Amino acid sequence: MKKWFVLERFMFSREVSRRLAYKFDFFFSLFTISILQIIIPLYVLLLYGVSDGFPGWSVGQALLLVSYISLGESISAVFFQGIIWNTVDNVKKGTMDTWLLAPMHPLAYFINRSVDVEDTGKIVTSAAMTGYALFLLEATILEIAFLLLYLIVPIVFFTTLAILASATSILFIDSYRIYEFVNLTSFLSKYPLSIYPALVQTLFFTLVPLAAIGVVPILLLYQSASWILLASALVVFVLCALSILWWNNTLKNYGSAGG
Amino acid sequence: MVDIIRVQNLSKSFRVAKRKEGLKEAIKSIFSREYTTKQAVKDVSFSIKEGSIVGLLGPNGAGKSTTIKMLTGILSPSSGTVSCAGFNPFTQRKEYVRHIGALFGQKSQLWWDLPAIDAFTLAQHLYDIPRAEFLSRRDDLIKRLRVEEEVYRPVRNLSLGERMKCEFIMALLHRPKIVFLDEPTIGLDVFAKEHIREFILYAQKTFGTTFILTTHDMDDIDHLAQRVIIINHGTVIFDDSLSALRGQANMVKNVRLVTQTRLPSLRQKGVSSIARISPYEASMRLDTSILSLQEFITRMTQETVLIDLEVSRASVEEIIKQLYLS
Repeated sequence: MKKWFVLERFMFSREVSRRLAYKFDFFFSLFTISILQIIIPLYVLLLYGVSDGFPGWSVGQALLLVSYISLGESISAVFFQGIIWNTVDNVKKGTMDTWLLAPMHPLAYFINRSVDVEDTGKIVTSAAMTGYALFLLEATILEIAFLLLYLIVPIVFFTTLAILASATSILFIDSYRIYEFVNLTSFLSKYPLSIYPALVQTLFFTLVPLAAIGVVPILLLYQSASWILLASALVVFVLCALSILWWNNTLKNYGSAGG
Repeated sequence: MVDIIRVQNLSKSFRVAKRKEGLKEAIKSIFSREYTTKQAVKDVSFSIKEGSIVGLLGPNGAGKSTTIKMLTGILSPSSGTVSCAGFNPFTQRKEYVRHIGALFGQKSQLWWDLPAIDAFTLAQHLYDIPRAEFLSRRDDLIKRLRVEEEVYRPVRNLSLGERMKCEFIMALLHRPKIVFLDEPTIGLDVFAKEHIREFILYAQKTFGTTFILTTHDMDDIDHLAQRVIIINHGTVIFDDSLSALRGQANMVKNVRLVTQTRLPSLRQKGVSSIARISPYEASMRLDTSILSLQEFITRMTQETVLIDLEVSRASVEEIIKQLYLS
C-alpha cells in the first residue's frame, strides 16, 4: 500500500512535468475544465433564484449535493479514472504487456500509470462550490469532518465505474460508450431523491446505490434521516469489490496483441 | 550451470473470431459469430542454463512472441508447465517479474515527452532499489552505454539507437536474472548495433544475466547466441548450439555451374533449390552430407563440359530459411 502511494505521488509529479511540455494546452485545459465544472452549481443557484427549487431541499442543501458529488467525481477522475482511456489505448496498441511486467497488482499499477492531472481544475472548482454550500448551511466542524470522511463513498463509486469500464475494454477493446452510459446514469444522483417515484428511490438506496454518493450524507446531517441509510454506502463498497474481482478475471483472458 | 528456465509441453491456443468480407457479413456477425481455434504454440519443451544467451528464432507468426509472453507471465499457457528462476510466471507473476527484465523493441517503457532519466526513477520505486545503489547502478549503465547527455533529453528527441540504449538501462536497473530481448537491434545502424551487442555480453559476463533473444537479425545471433532454438508453426524444429547450426551450414554449399553443352538433369539426391538461369547455366544448393562435392563434380563432368564452377558455403541465414521451409 505504501508503495502504491509512493508511486502515485511520483506519477503525479511526472505527469505534471509531462503536461508542462505543452504548457499552453495544459493551462487552457485546466481553465476550461474548471469553468465547465461550475455550470451545474450555477444552474442550481439560478433555479432557486427564480423558483422554490426542489421541495424539502434548501438552496444550500441542493448546492451541496451537486458540488459534493462533483468533488468525489473529480478526485476519482484525477487519481483513478484514467485507467479507462489507458486500458483502451494500451490494449489496442499491445503496450499493455509492458505494464504487466511491473511487480505489483496489475490494477494498482494501471491506476498509478493513469494519473490525469488535467482534472485537478475540477477538484478546485468543486471544492470551492462545496465550501460555499457549507457556508450557506452554516456547517459545523463536526459536519465538515463527517462529509470529508464520507467523501470516500463517492470516490469509490466513481472508481468502481472506471474499473468496470477498464475490464470491459480488456474484453471488448472499444467500449467508451458503455462508460458514458453508466456515467450519464450516475448524473441522476445529483437531484434530490424526492423528485423520483418511490420504486426508483428504493432502487437508488439498494441495488443501484446512487443515493449513497450524495443524498445520504445530506439527509443524515440536515434532514434528520435514520442512520440506517448508511447501509446503502456499504453497497458501494461491495460493488467495488465485485468490480475488482471481475477486472482480475478479465485479465486472465487477456490475449495481448500480435508481435 | 543450473537450468534457470524449464519449459515442458507448453501449448497455447487462441479463440479467434472469423468474419467474411462485406457489410452483409458484418451484420450477420452481430447475431452469430464463427470462431476458430488458433494453435499458436504446440507442445514446446526446452530448458535454458543460467547465464547463457539463447536465440529464439522463427518466421513471423511462428509462435516466438507467444512463447516469450508465456515465459514473462503476460499470457497463461493453455497447457504444459513453465518454471523460470524457480517461479511459475503466470501464477506467481508479481514475485517473478522482480527477477526479469524485458525489452520489446517496438514497445517503449519510456515516456515520450520526458527525459529517460525520469523513467529510470520509476524503476527505482517500482523495484524498491535503495537510493544510493540505484544511483550507482544508473550512472554506471549510463556511462557504459555512453548516453550521459541523451538521458536528459526528452525521449521524442532521441535517435532510435539512443532510445534503445535507454530502454536497456530501464530493463537492467533492477539487475534481473533473466532478460527477454525482442528485436533489440531493429532499425539500428551498425555502430549502435555493435554497441548494444557489446553491452549484452558485458551484462552476461559481469552479472551472470541470462538473455533470451528474439530477432530476425542473424548478425545478432552470430555475435551473441551460444544456442539457437528455432520455432515454426508453434513447434521447436531446431534446438542446438550455434556451432551445430554453423556445422550444418558448412555441409551445405551453394553451387553455380556454367556448361559448354546443354545442362544435364540436375535432379538428384542432395541437390535442391535448382534455378536454371539459361540452358547452360544453373545455380543450386548441395547438401554434402548426402552427396559429396567431389562426387557431384565427377557426375557433372561425365555428362557435360564444365566451363565455370563456383562453390560457396551457405550462410546460417540460408540454413535457417531452409529449416523454416522444411
